[in-house]
Amino acid sequence: MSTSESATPSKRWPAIRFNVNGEARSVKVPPMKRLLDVLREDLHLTGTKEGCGEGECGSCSVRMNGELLNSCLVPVLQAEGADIQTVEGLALDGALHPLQEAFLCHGGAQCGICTPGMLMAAAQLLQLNPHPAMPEIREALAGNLCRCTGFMRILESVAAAVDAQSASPATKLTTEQMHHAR
Amino acid sequence: MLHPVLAAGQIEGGIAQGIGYALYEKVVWQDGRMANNQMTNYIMPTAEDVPPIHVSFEEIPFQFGGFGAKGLGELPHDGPAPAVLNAIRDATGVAFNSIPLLPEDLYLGLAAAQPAEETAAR
Repeated sequence: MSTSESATPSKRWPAIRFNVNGEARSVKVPPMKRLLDVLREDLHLTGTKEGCGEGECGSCSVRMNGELLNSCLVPVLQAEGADIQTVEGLALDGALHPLQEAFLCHGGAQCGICTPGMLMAAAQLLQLNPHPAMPEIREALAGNLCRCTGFMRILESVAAAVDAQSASPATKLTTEQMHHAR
Repeated sequence: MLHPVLAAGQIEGGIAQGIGYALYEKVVWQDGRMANNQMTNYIMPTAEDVPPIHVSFEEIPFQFGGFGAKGLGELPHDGPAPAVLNAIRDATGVAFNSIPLLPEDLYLGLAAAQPAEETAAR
């Protein structure tokens, strides 16, 4: 697999264990390696993208222990024992998350680099606030930069996912909870 | 139009870039390098900065394009900066002719115009 670490045998590094998308994973990597790189290079979860690499653009957003964070700013050491959700964890058994459906239908993705981060930020918003108004959607996505859509389609996509959820049979569960209820 | 949703998305994205071009995105050159090559000091519009954008199309087949098609991704960059500066002139009476027009540029321009306005008022 990865040959870039061949000069430093992986046995040298202690195992760091955490859950990714509900699955227990263990990696032997330098503890200061960025969570972003561990996800992409060691776990081959390349859905998470690197944008600026300095915590400004939100492209590498993942959820860790229920919080949204920039995985480019997290040394993997800090993920020890954590529950991590990446964009790969949104779809369940091939069924797209309602947000992903909405992004597809409403043109929420153009070049796609910001999309995984946008989806994670939107999923986090819906988890905390199942019925956000447009100003709240704008605020929740303000940490995720997009160069090509002008944000309109992304905001519309999230609003559409919210509407779809409101239109569905009355339930006390949020979109997130319904989707992830097993 | 081959794909109305994406076509409108391209226009909206170009307009958002044009707004950044007009108001935020200042490239500072130093010794042949860009001195502000970070998202912290090269500012671009976020989801909170872009106003609602309404797109409508006039479809006129392009005789040199396949099936009459023509690219549209770059065109929307041209309009927003002049539109924003014209709106500022309309609101303040002071004409600005360079972009990006940062808040400090706006302040300096308005301050420079102030004495003339006061004289005119008297």
